Amino acid sequence: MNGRRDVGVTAASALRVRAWGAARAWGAAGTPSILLLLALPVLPALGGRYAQGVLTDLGQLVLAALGLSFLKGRAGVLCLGQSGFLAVGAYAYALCAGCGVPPLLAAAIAVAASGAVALAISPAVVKNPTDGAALATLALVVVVQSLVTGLRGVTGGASGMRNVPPLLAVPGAAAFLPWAAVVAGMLFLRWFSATATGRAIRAARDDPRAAARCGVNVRAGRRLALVICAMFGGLAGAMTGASFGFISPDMFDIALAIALLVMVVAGGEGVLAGPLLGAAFIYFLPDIVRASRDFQTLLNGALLLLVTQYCPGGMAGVLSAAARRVLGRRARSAPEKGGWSP
Amino acid sequence: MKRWIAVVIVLVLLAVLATGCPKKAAAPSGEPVKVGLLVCETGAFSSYGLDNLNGALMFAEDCNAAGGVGGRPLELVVYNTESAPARAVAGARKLIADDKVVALVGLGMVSEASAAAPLVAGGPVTFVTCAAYQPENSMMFGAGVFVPLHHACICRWLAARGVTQFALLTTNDATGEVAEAGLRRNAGQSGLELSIVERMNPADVDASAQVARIAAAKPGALVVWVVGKPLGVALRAIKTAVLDVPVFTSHGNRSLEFLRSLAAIEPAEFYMPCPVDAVWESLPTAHPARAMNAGFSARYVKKFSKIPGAGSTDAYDALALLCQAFAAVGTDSAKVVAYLEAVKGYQGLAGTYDFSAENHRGLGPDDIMIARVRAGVLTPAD
Amino acid sequence: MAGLLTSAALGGLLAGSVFALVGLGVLLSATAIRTVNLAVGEFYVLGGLMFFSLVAAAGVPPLLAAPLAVAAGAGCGLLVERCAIRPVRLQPPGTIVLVTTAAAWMLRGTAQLAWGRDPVAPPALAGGQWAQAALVIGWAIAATVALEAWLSRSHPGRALRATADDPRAAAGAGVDTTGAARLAFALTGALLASSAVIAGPVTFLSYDGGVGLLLRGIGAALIGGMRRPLLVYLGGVAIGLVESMSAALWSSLYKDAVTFCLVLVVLCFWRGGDEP
Repeated sequence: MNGRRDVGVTAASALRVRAWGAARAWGAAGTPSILLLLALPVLPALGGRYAQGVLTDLGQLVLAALGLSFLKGRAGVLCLGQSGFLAVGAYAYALCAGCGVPPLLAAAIAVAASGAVALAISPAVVKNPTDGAALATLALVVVVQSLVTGLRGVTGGASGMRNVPPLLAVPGAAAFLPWAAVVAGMLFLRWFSATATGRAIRAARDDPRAAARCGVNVRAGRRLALVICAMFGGLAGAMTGASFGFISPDMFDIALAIALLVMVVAGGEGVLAGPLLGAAFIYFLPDIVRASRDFQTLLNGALLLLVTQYCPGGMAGVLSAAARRVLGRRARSAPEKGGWSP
Repeated sequence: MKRWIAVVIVLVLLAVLATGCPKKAAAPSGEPVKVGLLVCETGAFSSYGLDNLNGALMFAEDCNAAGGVGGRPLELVVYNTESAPARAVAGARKLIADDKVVALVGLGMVSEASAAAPLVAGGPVTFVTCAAYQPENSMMFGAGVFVPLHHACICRWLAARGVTQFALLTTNDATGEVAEAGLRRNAGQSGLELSIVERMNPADVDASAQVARIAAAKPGALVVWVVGKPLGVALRAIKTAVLDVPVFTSHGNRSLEFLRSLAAIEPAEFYMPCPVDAVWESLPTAHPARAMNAGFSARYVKKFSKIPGAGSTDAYDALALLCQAFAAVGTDSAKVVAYLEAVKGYQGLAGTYDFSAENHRGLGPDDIMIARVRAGVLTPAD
Repeated sequence: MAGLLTSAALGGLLAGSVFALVGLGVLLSATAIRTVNLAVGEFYVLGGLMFFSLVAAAGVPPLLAAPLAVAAGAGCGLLVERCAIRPVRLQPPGTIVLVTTAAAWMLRGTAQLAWGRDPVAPPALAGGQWAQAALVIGWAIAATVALEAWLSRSHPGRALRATADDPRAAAGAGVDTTGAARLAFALTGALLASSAVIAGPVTFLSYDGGVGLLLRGIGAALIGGMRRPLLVYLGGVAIGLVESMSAALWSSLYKDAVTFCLVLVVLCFWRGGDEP
């Protein structure tokens, strides 16, 4: 059984086209990246220690979710292992920086390491983008956690590594860097999606057989998307280690992988604003639902269920539909130029 | 349109409900003394975290009923760390910066405490309830008996009974690593040998391979340092392998209902190192901890309908010590630290606390003893 | 050494049987949603906890409580299907996975509220360790054989299969796809509840126990290609055996790494998939 979606006039695809058409109006304008770019210089000065901390955490999550959103929404690969790439990046950074490598170079090495790991598992992932990819990426998370725990002498084991150096020993840098990376990432992904390769990847997601017949190398496209997603994750992981100063394997477990996937899908796949909204939603969910500690898990689930059922195309889709209604714009049906949308 | 309305209504309801927290204690008058509580209310360590929370709430009730802290009401600001170091750090930041708490209590996991340590190095005073964590800066104190002392207790007991080598089965997380390090060190000091160490995942449903390897090494005793379901899985494997040696387990397994339900697969000799508050019913009537624990236990059962767990007395004692310091020298962190370091012979629920500049964890080797476990009943083993 | 290998093999077979049962649950619900159902762990836990409560709190005799728990499990499945799955059944797989995650959280939250945080040892249907282990292993085999036969021979089974392969074609051929989805989820709930009744004394139960079983259950199902119960069973047993044997022969510290590295290798070479 494959998870290939049915192309054709079904209720599902009509719904999808409507939702994504609306999202396109939002995403194609690149509004999120422009807004963030403008907000960047202000970030380090914003609020006190708590606000800075929230911005740092959120920025790292958005960065990780951005890569995953590209892999899932654009290339159609179900990845349940983004936290594995985060772990690889975090530990690569911590080990290199701990050995005296300059932090920025260590971060670059971390990104490369995650990409290399993605390449290594790509044969397992690219063959079947739904079931096979899900299992392969889950397996990655387990293997990374197990290896990190086992190699205690090097990684500190389950008790973790302390004294991880920061990326830039400048106040406010911890909050600024992830968002700078997010903006750069968004711009890169927008540009990349418009290139021939980017379009080929999207074509491969929609109908792999037809794309293959048109000469697209479907597996190579998925592999590239996986590597890009892993690099985003690796950078996010390195930044996590740098900002906390401490990493342990239980920070990068399956629960985080599932949470990242939830962020991506709930926020809106394949849309630039999606990871932003999804990450914010999941991050603040416990604070929204602080009603009674005993009911927290239950309410989390209920809220997520409501969002999923009433927001087709994710929260970004709902927002752009609202924007469309408010501004009176109709969904453009002309082929998109730059922009990242179906 | 209707869907939008439904969603909006739900969100508004939730927002209204959300304003129903943080927990406020009933007040004597004046500016409240705010103490932040970082507990794992959900996630893998939630049963310990909930014990912490309940113990803290009990103390807040008792304290405010007795007039508060130097006449001022005690207010607990609770934050759920979800058994995740990242949330613990976020919560600590929020409590310090937004709620402006004068002290922190909680952090029931080693990784949570390690992650939060840099944050609190400059204050405020933090009482960590994780017994496996060694406070690493001058602002951090530890409640509960340090876990390696449990191991020392086990090793002394084994040495006294002529056992020469023993085995360890533990989980592959931070608790297990602390257990292995502590047991190795103490084994050496007591002239014993830790001959084989096997590990399992907390989520494993079978430990036959590990127990079979342990049985092949013919140990004189087996320490099963796991908490919760893995204990059941391990005991089942031990019974199937017919491994007939004394078995020790962690004091984190004080959920008596669960221990009772394991009676059918319990080993013939089943022990647990624990502080006095676990076996207070067996203490002599004149023992100072007995009356304290009797009263605490009765009030706890009345309020929460369950027997106090391992973390409740730790949180209670931590808050009691902090409030005593606040009443004496005010809420300035440096003064509180100096006061606490001078505390000697303080009788708490979990034992007698003696602090010093080098010892930020007031309980010592005398506050831990070996208890025998029989069908969920703990009695001192000596 | 022989004793070590035998113990490890039996333990691995036992654990593998549990993984296979969870994997069969994933397979069954996949006939309705065509992707992984992340709530199967919670179905298992809830079924077991309900059985525990019936026997321990309400005093119902185990042999009567078991079918009641199974029926309750089926009811759980139906509830999830109606409230969570059906509204989004036509959405892309990512959304459905999300919905099952939400359902899992809700079920876990309910379990936590009703049964608290402490682990529970449910009553055993058979006395003695060996009898219990035999029961679990036997049940896994029986369930696999029964599902294989039912899915390929019986009318509702074939309807399920048809819906799984191609919902549009099945609907066009007159299959009641909505009814098939309901049946699939009811069966998932019933299967997992019965597995919990039988394997509960072996695995123990707690409100958060679903997550641990989920990973290996999904692994079993995906290795088995989410199609044939026999392959899912073999996948589950393989995972259990590899874990147990690597713990026995090499190191219990790395057993997870070994098992899932092997899974990756198998995926690299075996699952050709039907994608180009």
